[in-house]
Amino acid sequence: MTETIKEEPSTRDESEKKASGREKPRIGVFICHCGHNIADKVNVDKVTEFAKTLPNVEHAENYMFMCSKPGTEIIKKAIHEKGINRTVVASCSRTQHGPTFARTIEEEGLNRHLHEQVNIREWCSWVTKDKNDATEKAKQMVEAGVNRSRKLEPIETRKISTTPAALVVGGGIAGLRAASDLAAIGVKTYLVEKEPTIGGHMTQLNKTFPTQECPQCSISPLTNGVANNKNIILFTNAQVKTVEGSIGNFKIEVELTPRYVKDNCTSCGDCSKSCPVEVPSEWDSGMSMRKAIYKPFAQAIPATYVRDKKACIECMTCVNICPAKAVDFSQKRETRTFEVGTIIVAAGYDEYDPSEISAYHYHQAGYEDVITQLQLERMLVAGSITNSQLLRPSDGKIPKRVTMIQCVGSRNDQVGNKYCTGVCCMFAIKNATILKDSYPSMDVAICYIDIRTPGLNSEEFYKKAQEKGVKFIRGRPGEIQRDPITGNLQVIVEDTLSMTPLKLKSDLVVLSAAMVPPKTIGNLGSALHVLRDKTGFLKEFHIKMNPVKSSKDGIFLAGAIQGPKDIPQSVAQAGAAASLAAAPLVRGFIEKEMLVPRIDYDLCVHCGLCISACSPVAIYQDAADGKIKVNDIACKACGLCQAACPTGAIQLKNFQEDQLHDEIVALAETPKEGGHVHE
Amino acid sequence: MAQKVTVFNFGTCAKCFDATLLLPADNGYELKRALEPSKWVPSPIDVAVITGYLLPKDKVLVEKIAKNAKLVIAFGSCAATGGPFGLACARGTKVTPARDMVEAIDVHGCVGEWFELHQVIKGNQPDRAKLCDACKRRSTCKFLSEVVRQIDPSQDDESCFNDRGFMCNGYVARQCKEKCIDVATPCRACKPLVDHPGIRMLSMFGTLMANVEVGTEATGGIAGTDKLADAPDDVTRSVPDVSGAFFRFSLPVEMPIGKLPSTGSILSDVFTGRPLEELPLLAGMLGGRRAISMVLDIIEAYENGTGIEINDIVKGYRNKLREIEAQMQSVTKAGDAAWYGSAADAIRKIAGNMNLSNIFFGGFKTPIKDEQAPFDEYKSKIIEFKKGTYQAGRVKYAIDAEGKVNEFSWRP
Amino acid sequence: MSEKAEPKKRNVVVFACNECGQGAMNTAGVARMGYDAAIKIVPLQCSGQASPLMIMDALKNGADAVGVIGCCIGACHFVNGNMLSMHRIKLLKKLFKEMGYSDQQINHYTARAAEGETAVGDFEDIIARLKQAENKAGTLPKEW
Repeated sequence: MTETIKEEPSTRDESEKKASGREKPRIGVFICHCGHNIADKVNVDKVTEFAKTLPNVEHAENYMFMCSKPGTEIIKKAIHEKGINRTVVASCSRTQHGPTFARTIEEEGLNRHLHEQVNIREWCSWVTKDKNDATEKAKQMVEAGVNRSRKLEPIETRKISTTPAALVVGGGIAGLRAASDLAAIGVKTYLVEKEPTIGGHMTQLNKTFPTQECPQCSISPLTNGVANNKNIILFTNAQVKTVEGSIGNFKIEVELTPRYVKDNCTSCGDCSKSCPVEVPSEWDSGMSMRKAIYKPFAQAIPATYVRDKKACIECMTCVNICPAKAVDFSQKRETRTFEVGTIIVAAGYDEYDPSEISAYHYHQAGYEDVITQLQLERMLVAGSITNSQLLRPSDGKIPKRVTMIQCVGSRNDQVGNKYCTGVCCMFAIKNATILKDSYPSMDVAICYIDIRTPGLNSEEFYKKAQEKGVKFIRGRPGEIQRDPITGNLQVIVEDTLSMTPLKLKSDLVVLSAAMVPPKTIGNLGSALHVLRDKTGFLKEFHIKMNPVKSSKDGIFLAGAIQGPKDIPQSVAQAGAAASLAAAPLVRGFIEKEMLVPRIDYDLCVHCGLCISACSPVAIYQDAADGKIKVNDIACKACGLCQAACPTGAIQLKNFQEDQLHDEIVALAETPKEGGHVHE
Repeated sequence: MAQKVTVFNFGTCAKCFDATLLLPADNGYELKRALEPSKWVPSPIDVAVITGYLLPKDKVLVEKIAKNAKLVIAFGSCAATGGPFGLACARGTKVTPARDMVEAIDVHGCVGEWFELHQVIKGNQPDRAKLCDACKRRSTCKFLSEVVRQIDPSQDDESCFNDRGFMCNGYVARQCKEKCIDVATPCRACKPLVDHPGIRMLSMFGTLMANVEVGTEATGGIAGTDKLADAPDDVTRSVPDVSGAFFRFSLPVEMPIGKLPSTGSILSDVFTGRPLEELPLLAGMLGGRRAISMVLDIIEAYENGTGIEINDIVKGYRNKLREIEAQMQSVTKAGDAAWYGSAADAIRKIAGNMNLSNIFFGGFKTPIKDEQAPFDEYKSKIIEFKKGTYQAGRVKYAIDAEGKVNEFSWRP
Repeated sequence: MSEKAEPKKRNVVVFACNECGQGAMNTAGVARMGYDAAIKIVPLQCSGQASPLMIMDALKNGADAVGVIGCCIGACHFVNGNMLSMHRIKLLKKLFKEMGYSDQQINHYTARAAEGETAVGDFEDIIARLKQAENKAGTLPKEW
């Protein structure tokens, strides 16, 4: 671990020497009245007198407002005149004024961690009815604070320089946006995309709502920009294999699957034309065929062709026919390693596979006319296999009646997922509108549970679709039936508004399938050591206040990988991720408090439970000497390792077992002069 | 000048008392052995070695002994921390560590190791090597989704028992001579590496079984949140006997005296509440001079009661062990160190160690040295729990559907 | 227990996590929600840092009951610290029962930082269960 971390010596050397944990503790106790807030309930004089009786307390006094300038001066004076090297302030909460007093003592040359905050306001005077009870409790709390303070040790804040580069995983709209923004800030960015082409699902779409713009046109400046950006190093047909290290210094290993076509490919397409092998095109969502050597779509970037080794029968036709002699079967899998400071995960989503819902018969023989919305888009798009016409896969005829089914794989307790994807209503309405515009006499119906169109322009979009004659039927279809003789499809649904059971004759059924986490997320999530939530999407740090940070410092989330969302939400999140990811790199360093555990190797039995318990995966077994060690940078000071350890070998600094014991003893017993713990 | 050392036998097991026969008598010791301490005539001695478990009624005698000795050593887990008899504390029987009565140095172990006693008498500290360092298995401690009560001892000897869901307290134990772990038996930490070994191991194992489902319920009143549920759940079902599993040797020092009603005899107080699969080892630990027959009676009662067949190889070894026990009654009374030494070796060869860890239902847990027949022919079985009453020889016990003992008696 | 008797001076040690546990207690304080003065708080980083060792330490040194309060299920800031604590305490409670004691002197609770009543409700539950255990003479002795 240490070879990737470049450290600088702490700038607090002087204060460390002065307040070394080894010198005898001289504790100063300062009780705050907080005006009436504490003093009206707690007898601060009695508590002060009590504090004076405790071992190692060299100074104790009370004052009206400890957080005020005169208040902090009292503390400074005590440090100066009496050599106080540990402070206990009994006042409000740690979050409120803990930093105030920590700063005060730091200004006097003491390490900020040698201050202990005792909350006799929120946790005592404000919640206790009887004054005697409050005073006694305050005494116990002060003694607990003094006992804890006695064994505090200084904690250094380490400056760690960061590697000035970033990794973006995923080259869809979110990843492209994030990479572009990072590059614009001046950060060298590695963009790793698992497909042979960048652009992701957005490039598969026909139009985007609500303005019915062409997504290829919208995204093309971005894809071209990324391909030509000197700050962006693009790897396609590549996947992230391992990630080591922590924020500021990650070591990345990327595995490149060979394209079997060299970079001098002119994209002429001769290889593809003569290739004898045809397989369903993934990029076309199975609606057309591609060759074993192919370019996913005409505008693909990179424009270099790619060979599907599994489908290839090695007839060598492409090798011989290529005018640029670019086809090279000898290419091998390669590994690239590089270092970055931060990572953005923008790995996108997959479309839910409705085969699981047996009643809808998706992908079953005889039900070729049951398709998904993505497959519909692939037919309507310019230059499609059907020449942008909507044709039934079974007989190639234009359907007269199209039924769309919402919430396929979403909002379902039995099968699929419980969540609402949140995008399908809009894209179903979009496609229904397009169909009505292109085929005015076509019957288009949408079976829905609720229509969810939030945000500006969406409700208007929905109204317009109704005006155009799209039918909205409120009911979740139970089944798609097929007449065995005529082959016609029927959608069985109850219209819950009119309470009428319906059998909708449909020439084409379009399923609005959910957005689900991409297949590869298992391996990727493990490699990154980031959390996933129950649904499989990557979990954000805080659901409200930090939806961009992942569970691990230095790794950020952008786009659908953090949960289903539409293009503008993905782009916005990508921009946020880029700025958060760039911050420590532009600054050049991160600062981390070394509040970390220490390990007593006399007690460590190398069981490994601390490694399993460690939430940020900051503990490891050193391959060189077999010892259990802590990655100080990744450690989040949670203390889970300490509670897991069978022998007490690993303990968090400033939360040591004996220290907590002293604190517990003061709170578990009634207060007495001199306290419960001896010097 | 020869050190006057007298060994006192309290309790009912006498295994540690007999083990002191092996103290090098020619190493400057004037060794005396008081089989019945109440009959001991007080005289000044250098070292008093207390073995066996103590009850409050023994306090007067122990204090008298301490008054006459320059140094008191509590030898064996019973004298030190209550040993397996300490489990009777759950039922109000106040098994007391020697150090709660007088000042004493502890030499833990079940059975206590005579050379460790020897070191301490000479004024050295007992060794603090970790058991895990002597174990051939490697642990990863990945969280468990399942805990098992028995394993096939012949499978996969490379991963730590705990990784396989089979609880072993080796993490909190020191290296020992008996090495239950070498006989496919998980350690129960008779020689603790740390203070509070039981609580620490409970904490560790509770953490390790993180993926076993724990039940929660709504908190009453205004809280509107969840709390840990009171009802039995997969966690409690996974560890049917918490006190026996984690506090096998240290219950009196880690918990206050229990309030369950006593069954009337200390032995049945110890065995009641224990899981069936732990019975052989428990009997092997505390049976002392009667351990072999106690263990075999327990096992054969269940084998007969549930139709588990044993073959002649197994029968042969069991008979051999019974023979040794029969001789032990007479010989150790007389205190023949040489005989004891060779008998102990013979026991170890078949039964694995002095705790008889190798003996189990259906046969033996690990191959017996010099046995020609393939191990599969005399390998022990994994037993199913059948509620019922079982009886053989001096032993009678009843187990419930969960496989826990709810009644136990042993006719002396 | 006679109502006229001197109200017992209890000490209940509560281990509270840095996020939701202490957060809820701060919120309760700001809202002036009153609760039994017996409650004494030991701040920890995560409820998963609370171990049976600490809990027994508290009980042995005078505490009448011990509670651990962490974040709600699924919301632990350190992934699953709260669940780890629950597992351990479940085993500890079983031990108490095996010794013939009530298992109501210890428990693991959850709270939400923004809602003071979640902490106060937990405190009330601890005290109510402690009283139950005292009435049934099932509490641990003060010294052992």
